[in-house]
Amino acid sequence: MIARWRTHLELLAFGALLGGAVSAVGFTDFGELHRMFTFAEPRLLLTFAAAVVLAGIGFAIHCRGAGMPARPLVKGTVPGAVLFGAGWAISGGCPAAVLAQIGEGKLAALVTLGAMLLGTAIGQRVKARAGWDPGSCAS
Amino acid sequence: MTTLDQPRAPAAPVESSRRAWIAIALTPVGLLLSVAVGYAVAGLIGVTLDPATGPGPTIGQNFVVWSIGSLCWFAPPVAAIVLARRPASARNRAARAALAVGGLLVGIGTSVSGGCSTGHGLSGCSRLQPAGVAATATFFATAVAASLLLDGVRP
Repeated sequence: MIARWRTHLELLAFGALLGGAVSAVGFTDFGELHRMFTFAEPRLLLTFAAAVVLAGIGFAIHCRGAGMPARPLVKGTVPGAVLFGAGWAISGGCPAAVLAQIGEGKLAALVTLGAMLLGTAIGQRVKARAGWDPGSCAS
Repeated sequence: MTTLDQPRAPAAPVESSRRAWIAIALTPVGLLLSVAVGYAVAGLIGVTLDPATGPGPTIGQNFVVWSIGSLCWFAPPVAAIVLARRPASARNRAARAALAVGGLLVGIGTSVSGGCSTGHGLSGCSRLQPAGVAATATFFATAVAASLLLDGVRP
């Protein structure tokens, strides 16, 4: 019971850190994202690259000896990424950023969140019908 | 309700509607290109699809994805054309429509692809996972194409 609470508290702390970082970096701002995607400003791109390197170091330390968790390429990977990329550019929100946007008081992001939940339900049905592998966003 | 800094409906309806139609015509090209980028990157890093899941998506399945994507991409420019002559409140509605369409695409895309900017982009790329790298290349290419299209539609 105590161990479970500890896990919950750890998740809460990491979630808060992620939200704060996403917001502070400017990933919640449509203009900033748009400037990254149109290569008008390299700042966010460099930030993301630095985050990938940092996460790589973190994974290397965390998984030392045990091997990295695998993430195989499945049938839905590329087609799904196409849809996600278009949606990200149009709405200015990826799943993490939308929650941070709501936290910032940008209540219009509730529209994005609602649509995203609906889209996830549709995506699950699409995957089931097409026989594509299931997968979660975070793993 | 506050709105995000969203692409506004164009101020000059005639000129922007011409550009919007060009954007609409180019949409399937952009989608095809981004799919090509994804598979090219997967090929470059020497990865084939997971053997357990068999061969890749069929032409028919890809066609369905492209069709849905194309239709969703059509929505913002069409909304921009329709709402161009309306007052500011209608523009807010257009911005919210863009949020809804974009959110829907994000939801479908992340669940079908099995990851998002965090899962594929951050966790996947940092572990040098093939799916993460291929998906990140794909969604970034699509996002660039979509953003350039949005710029084309705006005044």
